[in-house]
Amino acid sequence: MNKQNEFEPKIIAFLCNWCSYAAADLAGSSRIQYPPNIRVIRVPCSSRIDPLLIIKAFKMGADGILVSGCHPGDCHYIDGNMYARRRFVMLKELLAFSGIEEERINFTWCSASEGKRFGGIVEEVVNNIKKVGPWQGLGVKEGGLVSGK
Amino acid sequence: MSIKTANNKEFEEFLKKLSREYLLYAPVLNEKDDKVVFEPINEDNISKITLGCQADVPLKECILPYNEKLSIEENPDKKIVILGARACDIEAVRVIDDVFLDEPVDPYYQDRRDKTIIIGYSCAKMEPTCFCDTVGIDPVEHDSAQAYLYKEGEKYFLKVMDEELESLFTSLPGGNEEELAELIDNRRNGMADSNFEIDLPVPVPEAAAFAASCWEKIAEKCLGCGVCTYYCPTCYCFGFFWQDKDGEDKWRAWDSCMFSLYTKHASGHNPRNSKDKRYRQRVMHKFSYHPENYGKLACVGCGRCIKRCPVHLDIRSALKLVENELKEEGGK
Amino acid sequence: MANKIDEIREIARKLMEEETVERVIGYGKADFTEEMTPVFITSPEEVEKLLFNEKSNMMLAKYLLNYKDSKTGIVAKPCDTRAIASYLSEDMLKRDNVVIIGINDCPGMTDNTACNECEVRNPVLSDYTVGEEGEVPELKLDKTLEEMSTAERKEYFVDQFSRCMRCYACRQACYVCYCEECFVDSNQPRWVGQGTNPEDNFTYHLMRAMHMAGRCINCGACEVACPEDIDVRALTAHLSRYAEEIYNFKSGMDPQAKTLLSDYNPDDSQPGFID
Repeated sequence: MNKQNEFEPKIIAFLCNWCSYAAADLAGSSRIQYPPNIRVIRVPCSSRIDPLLIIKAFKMGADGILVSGCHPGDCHYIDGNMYARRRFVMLKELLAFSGIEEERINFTWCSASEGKRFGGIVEEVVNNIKKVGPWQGLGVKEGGLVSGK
Repeated sequence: MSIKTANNKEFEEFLKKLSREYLLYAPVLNEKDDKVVFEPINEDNISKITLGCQADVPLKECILPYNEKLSIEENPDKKIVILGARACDIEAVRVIDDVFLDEPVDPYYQDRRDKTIIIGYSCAKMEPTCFCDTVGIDPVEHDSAQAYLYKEGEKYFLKVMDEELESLFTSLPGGNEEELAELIDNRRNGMADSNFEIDLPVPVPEAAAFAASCWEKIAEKCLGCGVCTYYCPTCYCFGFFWQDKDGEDKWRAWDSCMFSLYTKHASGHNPRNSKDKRYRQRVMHKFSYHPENYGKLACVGCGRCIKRCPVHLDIRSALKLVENELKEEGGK
Repeated sequence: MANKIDEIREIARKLMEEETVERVIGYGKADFTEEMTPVFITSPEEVEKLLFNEKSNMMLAKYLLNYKDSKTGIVAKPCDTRAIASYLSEDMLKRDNVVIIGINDCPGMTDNTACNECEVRNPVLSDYTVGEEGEVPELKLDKTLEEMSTAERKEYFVDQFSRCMRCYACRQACYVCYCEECFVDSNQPRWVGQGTNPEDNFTYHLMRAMHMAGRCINCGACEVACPEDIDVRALTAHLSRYAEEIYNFKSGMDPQAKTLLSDYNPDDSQPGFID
């Protein structure tokens, strides 16, 4: 496959303002190379991310999502990410069970000093999503769109 | 008017011919969910046509689709033939016609309606939820269909009421008029009445029924879903929306007066803010407002709302309670 | 079953006569068909209307939310008592305002496949009980979906949800769906489009299931209510099994317990997270 036709996934990255967003910033200022496939949405805390936002990202055609917050115990709001963790575990299971490939649904924790690690995670996520290919969309089977009522 | 007859094989050939020349809808048994629904017929599903029982979904979906892009070009060029419509469903089409073909005419509906030919199907028995006789409909025959189909055992009769359509039926042999008349008589005499009788003036007096105190009791168990309206052959309410990203294509989709959002104003005020008011609206529309405006009942007694309601809320029980209350009031 | 009906009527009559409650919610026969339907008893004379059989598959607990501020008696199957326990733990009801007539040894209901998977056959909380406590019969767990591949499951759900009419009977029948304004009805932001295109239908069911995560008691009310017989329960039921597996959490068992997502443990496991 030549470079031009290669599938470049669009990945929505929800990053916590206090750690992961800073990690992405650090990765940039330290000139760490990572794939340009993520579109970053800065959120005040990983617990701000309504699971519906993630479902909606898939509805609107995102090939995958990446959510990153502070490490458990390091939350700027004390325990926001602890609550978020349970939600994300349930959400991931729901989406995987309903037929969205697990590779598309990524959660991680990243501190402000882990710029290098952040770059590595994005690379890993992008590679995994490239393997499963473009997202077909909710309500779409392999064979294409089905007609509703 | 002419009478045609057919045996199983001749009838199937006739259907094949129809399905080639027209967009033919007929009730089909869907094996996946064991439901009888009106579907476009082709050579493959012709054997699944099921006429023996009432279709689970009313035929309004064929003339007023759930989702509809508002554009005449989207409508099929072919003429539509709906086969197997029962008297209740045919009467329901007249009710929807009242609304959409009244001024201002709805061009999308009119276009589809002009292309539609309805072939009725004569009922042989009443289901426990049926009460069409109570609302003045003859289940055996309805005169606003263009043609009518009768099935007795292996034998089919077709009565062609619209002379312009004679050419459609030329492939079928002529039938005996007396034999058909006898069949119709037998059916009319043999059909048991529904066990529901009601003594309410039509239209139901608006002021008195509206003010009745029984609505709260009637709607107490109502869950507030849209099942009764979506399965009702005469409920036609719709909402608009814009489907594509640029917002250029305007669509409409069914809506339901049973949803609390239906009447919610932009200000936040909701004139029908409780389920008893919403249920009252539905019953009053069928039995008071529509008859007031168009001179016929908007309930055709098909019983689908009763059959499908998740909590078995029965419109007949509701009418009974209203009747009792109005009588008590009148007696005072 | 006949004994149970007598007992239910006796308790309901006592409650009405002593004016302990303003109404008793129970099951009775529909006026014109052989179906069961919810009945609302407001006087001792009406008590004879009360019945109970395996067709009593509606969830009555949801009606309690309409009568939060007055005392209400309710004929409650074990799943209804779990729903009430959830309401109490979510602070939706006052315990003093409910008088629970719990049904022991629930036989399971018709048209509800959830009953095959149900291991709570006696009330989890009650003021009165009818019948003798019963054993849990052999469960029939359907693992077909779990064994499918991701693509097969997606195909299955797309097929199921594309039949959806968006009548919201599942939402209205569900005891945990009690939001003042549902996300479906919100237009700022608009989560789900109007109309029934398969994409919006799928989104609706996913979002609804997410709101049920850790709250669904797998009572099957959604499945019973669905007029199109869609497998609406599959997603939420899977999540409630998963919550039990991962967090050892079962909703609606203890009125004092916090709900799954309003609580955490610093040592919670995080399967599937990138380390």
